[in-house]
Amino acid sequence: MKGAVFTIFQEMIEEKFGMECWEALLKKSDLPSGGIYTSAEIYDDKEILALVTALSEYSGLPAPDLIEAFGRYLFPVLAHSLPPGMTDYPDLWSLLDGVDSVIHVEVRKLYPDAITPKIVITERVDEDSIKLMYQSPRKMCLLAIGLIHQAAERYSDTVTIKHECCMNEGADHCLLTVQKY
Amino acid sequence: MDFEAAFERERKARKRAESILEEKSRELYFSNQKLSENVDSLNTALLENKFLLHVSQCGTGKTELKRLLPTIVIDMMRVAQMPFAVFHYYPYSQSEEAYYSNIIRNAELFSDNLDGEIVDDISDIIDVIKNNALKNKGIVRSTVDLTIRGCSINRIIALPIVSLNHVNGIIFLLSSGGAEKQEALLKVFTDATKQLSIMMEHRYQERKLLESYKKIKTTNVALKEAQKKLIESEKMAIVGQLSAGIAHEINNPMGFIKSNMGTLNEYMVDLIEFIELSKSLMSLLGRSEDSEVKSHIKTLEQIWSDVDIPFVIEDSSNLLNESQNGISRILDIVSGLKRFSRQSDHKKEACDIRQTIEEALKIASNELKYTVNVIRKFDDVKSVLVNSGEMLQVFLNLFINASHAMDESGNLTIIVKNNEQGVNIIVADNGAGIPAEILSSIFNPFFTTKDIGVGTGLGLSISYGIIEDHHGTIEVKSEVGEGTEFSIWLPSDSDNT
Repeated sequence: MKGAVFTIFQEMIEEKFGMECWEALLKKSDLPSGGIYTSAEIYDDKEILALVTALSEYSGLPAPDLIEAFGRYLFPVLAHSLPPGMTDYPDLWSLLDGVDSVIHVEVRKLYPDAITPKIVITERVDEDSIKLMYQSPRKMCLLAIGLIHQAAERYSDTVTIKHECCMNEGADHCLLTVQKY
Repeated sequence: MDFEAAFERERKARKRAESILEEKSRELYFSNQKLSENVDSLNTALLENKFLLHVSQCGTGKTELKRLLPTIVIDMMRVAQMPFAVFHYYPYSQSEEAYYSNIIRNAELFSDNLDGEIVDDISDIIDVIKNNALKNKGIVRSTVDLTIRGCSINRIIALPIVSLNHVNGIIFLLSSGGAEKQEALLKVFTDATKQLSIMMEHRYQERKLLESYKKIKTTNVALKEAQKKLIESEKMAIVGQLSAGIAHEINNPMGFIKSNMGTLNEYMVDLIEFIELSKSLMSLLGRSEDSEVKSHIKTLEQIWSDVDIPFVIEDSSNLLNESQNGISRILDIVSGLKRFSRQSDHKKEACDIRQTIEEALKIASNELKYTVNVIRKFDDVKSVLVNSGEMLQVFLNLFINASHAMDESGNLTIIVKNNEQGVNIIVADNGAGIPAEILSSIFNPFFTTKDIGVGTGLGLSISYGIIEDHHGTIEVKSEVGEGTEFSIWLPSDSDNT
């Protein structure tokens, strides 16, 4: 996984739980990278999962909630890291539409090795509702959900996101219904 | 010490470094992309150049378009990375058949062969596009929705090759990719087809030129041949006229010379009888006592012995005989000249020429018997309208000439066969042959290679005259040491009447 995700995760931990927490997580997880992350590199997916598991134990909060929360935290930082103009979408739907066709393309330009998830709008149910497909070997649909929530907020929308099916439950992709209200 | 402030500073520094790194990566990406675009366009240009070069190389060779098209089509597919193609070839001449290729695969994309059945699937579509291309004689782009070998085809592009306002061929490119890159290539392809068209035009004109050159050459040869024949027959006509004049002029004096000679002969007989009686009278009177008589007798005996009267008598009859022989020969020649100049008025009748030939062989048998092996190759021929006596003379002439040409034993081959509108008679020997330099003179009157007195030199010229009189032709071919072949053609009965 892209190093930026790790550095942002570290920042979130330091901000929300303090530096001692981060040190504790590193000590507990015994990671191959030793917790030395830079945005230019790519790290094993297992490290983020180990860190989330450790954080869940440390904080007593369930891992899924933590992942989603991290998604929310991640969004503005990721958006900021994109070249100017890349995030100028008029609404949430067009932003989601652009994730795969524009943003991930841009990411692969800089990091040809990066594995980006496939995120595609499969159906526009009505003006306020879409169906979104998520597919990634990492199965981190919850992170995507957190990101979408945060993205919606940017357009002053509030959304509910419901899993129709989930990779973590054996499906080959996740289908999410995103509903504005 | 404020570690937290130091830590924050360090973190900011790291972030800035990371963002600079990211910026540089982005720049690197773009310059990489630019570079690979340049490489791509260079590669494309290279391919285009190779393609055009290949087309022009193919075209300058002497290959026909039909053989050229597969190579060019394969080239086009490779350059444009198109999966399939088809081509049609329409020749200029209606007699030649058009050629429709099977579907051709791009070997770089498909390793296995295609079978012909797929062509049926697309042949209807190709037909429509073909008609379109034939009509407007320009490039036709058609959107289609086909799948061949799991490859979806979205466009068929037809590139007609138009030369001399005739569609010489059409290349159908079956495309599966986006149109944007192809359009640039299509321009190259159109240029190539134009180049091909021009080359085909040149080739066509060249061929036409060559054909008409050949025609002119043949006509020229025929013309020269006809001219030669015309001169020959003109010459013969003049010679004939001249001979007729001479024959006529000689004939009259010869007439009275012959009759005078006859009378003179009779006179001589009378005179000799008288002289012989006088001689016996002289011996009777020799015993006379009369001196006057004696002196006369003596004078007469003197003259008798001086003049050698017995010799005079003997020689005179010889001289008269020789003169009469000479007159007969002159008359023969004159009548021969008359016949050559077609002054005969002999009637012609339908006859089987084989009988005439057999008759001539019988008459010449004395001449031919021991030296010549006669080979007959007679077909069942039509009858011809001829004067059989004259024709007999012609064949006799040829057979005798042939036997003279063959000193030792030889083969005389006589072929008789039907020919267009007549009968062909070939008389061939394997004798000495006639040298080329005199071959053209053999029909001239008085031309002979035989010793003086053996031939008159009129035989062949008379034969020539006779054949002309029969509206036929006589020709000769000869090779020294190989033999001579006379070929006579006579028109058949129906044509003559």
